[in-house]
Amino acid sequence: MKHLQLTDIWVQYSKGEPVLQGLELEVDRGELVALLGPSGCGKTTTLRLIAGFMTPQKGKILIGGKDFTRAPAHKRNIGIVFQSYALFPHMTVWLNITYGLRIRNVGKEEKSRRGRKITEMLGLEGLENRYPSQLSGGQQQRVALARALAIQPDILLMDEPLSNIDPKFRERVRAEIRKVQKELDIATVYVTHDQEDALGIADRVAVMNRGRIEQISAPVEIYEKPKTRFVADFMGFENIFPIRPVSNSERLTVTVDGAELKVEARDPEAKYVAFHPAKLTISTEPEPEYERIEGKIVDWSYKGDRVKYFLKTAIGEVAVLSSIKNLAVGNEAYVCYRPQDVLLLRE
Amino acid sequence: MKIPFLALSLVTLALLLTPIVMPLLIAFSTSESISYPPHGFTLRWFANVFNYESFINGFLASSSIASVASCLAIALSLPSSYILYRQKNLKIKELMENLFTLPMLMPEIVLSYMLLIFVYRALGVVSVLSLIIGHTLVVLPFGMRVIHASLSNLGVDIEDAAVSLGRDRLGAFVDVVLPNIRHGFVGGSLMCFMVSFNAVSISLFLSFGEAVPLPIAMLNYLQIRYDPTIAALSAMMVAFTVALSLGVEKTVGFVSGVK
Repeated sequence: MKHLQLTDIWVQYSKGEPVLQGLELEVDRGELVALLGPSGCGKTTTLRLIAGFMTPQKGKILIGGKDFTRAPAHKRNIGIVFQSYALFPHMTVWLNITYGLRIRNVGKEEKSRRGRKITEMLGLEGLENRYPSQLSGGQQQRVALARALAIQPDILLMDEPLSNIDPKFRERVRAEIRKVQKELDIATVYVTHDQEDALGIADRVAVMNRGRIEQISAPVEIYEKPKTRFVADFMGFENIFPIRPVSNSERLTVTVDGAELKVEARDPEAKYVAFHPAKLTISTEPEPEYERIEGKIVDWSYKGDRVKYFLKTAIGEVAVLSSIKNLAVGNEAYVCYRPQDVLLLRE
Repeated sequence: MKIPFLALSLVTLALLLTPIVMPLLIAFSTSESISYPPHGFTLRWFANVFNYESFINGFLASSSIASVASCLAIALSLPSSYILYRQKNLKIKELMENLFTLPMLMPEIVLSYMLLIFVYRALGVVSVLSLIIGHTLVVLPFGMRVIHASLSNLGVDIEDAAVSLGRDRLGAFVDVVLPNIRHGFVGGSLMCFMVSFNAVSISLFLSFGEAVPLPIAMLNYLQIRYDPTIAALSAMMVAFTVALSLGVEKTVGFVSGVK
């Protein structure tokens, strides 16, 4: 049995569409699951449910096999890192970190041992007597993490923890969070709207849309093999076209606007095809090992090491990321693809 | 561009300050009645203020009423501001905010008259209690504003953080919310005190003999005598109010206080 289990969760505020519609989520001990989605998809609500700041109208939340659906927030042993860090401004770093231990009446020696261990782990030695206002953003973030971890929580929740960190340092902070989380072997739910953030830190990424998890898989799988139109779109597949399947032979072909595309995958319920701009190449000569679509360049934008071309083709406008930089608007060119790179998507 | 702007500012400032500065000058005048321009220099009108018992009693009455009203207003503001600050439904929040600000928008004279009818006629209260009820109602919105502003600046995450660490709601409020809005308490009380101290019409309508607030004592004095004692007292009240304002400014700032 997984450590954290959410089954068939429904949440609806006063009126309108429910915020969560039958959400299912499982997180293992030591696993980091990122909830990824646009604002309003229900990811923060999910976090607040696990924390106990609200209760669902329907559904169950199990932690370590025990039902916590209606347990008050202060009776759940859950560490939270808030987006705003929410450090106590009138307490020093040390008092912030050991607050949870004082509430739990942990003995003096045990308290200072645990406090010191977590302070060291997060590299906060020497800052114990400072106040939060005297710390940099990165240091405040580490104090927030230390405070949440000091209580040895059953679950760690993180709400957009990197959104207030300078983009230059995000990668490093991400690695730090990951290291501590693995070292303590703690089940973690990480909420973010940033695709790069989620892919870079999580064991599994759950892409949420309109109160449901559309797909939950390892980062590589989510990025390379999205299953639905929404996930593909969120992962940057710019080329998504509605299809009509035409044959059921070994190599399936699909029809987009009357033009045929070769695909390897099969899915009778597929409604769209998609290819990632980076999986396509552009060429002025037909290349034998690739399938091709004829097109004409209508626009391009410079991306540094590569150029993104937009071509008008029989199936619609296609975006291609290419290392060829000398093509211009109006040039005829082929969009080359391999059938195995064409994804079939459901609605 | 810069010079005309500066000149305009100075003219405006002069217009605003003249009515305050005039009595200050008259307060030091040696002439027996309030007249302009002032003659000579004396401090006897200031001494005179302290010889007139009604002024001393008035000051004591005004400051006691203001103190009690401020404490009551702050005590009432705390729970209502808290509900307002945790309120997630924006429509209810806006409605509550408007409701609590209403007494501030109502002309004080109208409010005073209605209170007179209500407190005196309906409740039958004819004592210093009526003044306290009236003053509390008048200063309540000011207390509310300051306390609510302090809570809003603090944000709700900090309380949720304490709860997630194992403290119950009330404990979290005491541990991490109260200590961080203490400036709001001080500033809010000072502001309430100041507003109450200067609320003339409410005192005029609701004082029934035994406790006569200072502004009423001043009006009464003016009806009998017309000498610079009043000017001297006014000067002292200006100084007192300015000192209180500086106190408010130091603790919460006018901007966050009045919004």
